[in-house]
Amino acid sequence: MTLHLIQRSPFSNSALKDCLNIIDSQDSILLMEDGVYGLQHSLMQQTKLTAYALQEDMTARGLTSKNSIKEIDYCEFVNLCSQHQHVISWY
Amino acid sequence: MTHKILIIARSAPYGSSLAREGLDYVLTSAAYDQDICLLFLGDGIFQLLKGQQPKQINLKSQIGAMEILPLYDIEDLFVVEEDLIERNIDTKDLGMKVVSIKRAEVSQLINSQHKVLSF
Amino acid sequence: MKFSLLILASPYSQQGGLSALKFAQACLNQGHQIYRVFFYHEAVQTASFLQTPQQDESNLHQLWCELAEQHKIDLVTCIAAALKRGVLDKSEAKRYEKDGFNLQKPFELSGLGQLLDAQINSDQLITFA
Repeated sequence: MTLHLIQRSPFSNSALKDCLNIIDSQDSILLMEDGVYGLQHSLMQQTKLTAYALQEDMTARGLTSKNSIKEIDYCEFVNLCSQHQHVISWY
Repeated sequence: MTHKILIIARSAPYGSSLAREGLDYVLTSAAYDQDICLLFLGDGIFQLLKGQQPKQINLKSQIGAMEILPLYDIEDLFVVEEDLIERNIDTKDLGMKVVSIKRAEVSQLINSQHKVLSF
Repeated sequence: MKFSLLILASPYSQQGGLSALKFAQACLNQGHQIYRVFFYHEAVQTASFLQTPQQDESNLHQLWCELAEQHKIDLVTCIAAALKRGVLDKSEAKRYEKDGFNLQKPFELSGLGQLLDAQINSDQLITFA
């Protein structure tokens, strides 16, 4: 079980696409920094994966939550890291 | 204890120093007797292309530096079939002996490791 | 749990360093341990004490120093990546006959072996790029 940290915008970088290409259905995704622009992307709107977005990074950029993507804070971010076998950053 | 460590190489060489700095970490880890395998994902594949001549742009060869990997007992170099096709690359175009796997097999590779790091 | 952080992000060009600070603070607030923070790639510039941001901007170097001193955190900067980017401590400056230096405790220069040690001896190594 892996937590994937998406740290770049999917509109200018392949981080999200590369991650989704290899992701397992048991894995989770966390959108952070410019990765939160993924909320606006069709790749995230279609996904059935467990997905989170860092609330501070969303608010900073004027983004609001879409569909089933759960907003979390840094405390929950730390918890997620401790609950997964691996944490992989995509940038 | 020896740990199984997977390094995911996602950066193309030269345009950024990440590919090089990632390889430096691979060589360090191998020197400390860890069980290292490498997965070249996405643009990371370009690190393996034959015929790189970066002298012309005043940089050190990435593929040249990778030739010493077998001396460090790093022999598991994985590439992803779909990434090769997407980039119009044949395994014959690669300067290292690689194992080609499918995208669907990558998570299994990740799950079989103690530690994973991506550059 | 034991966490280590690998920071690759350039201190004032990218957000990664600031995210890492927030993450470290959240770890400590929840009673987790930070085993080591390793600065590599462009992030080695965080170690320079000469950085002088404007008063209304965060001073990343200072923020890490405060956190490190408060919680006894190991701040290790990759020596090879730092030297080529002009980040040197007193003894390296002397060795390479440079007029000045810009790295001192709590930051220290060391090799990539320290990153491997952090990866092996922590439960999680989180990368901020």
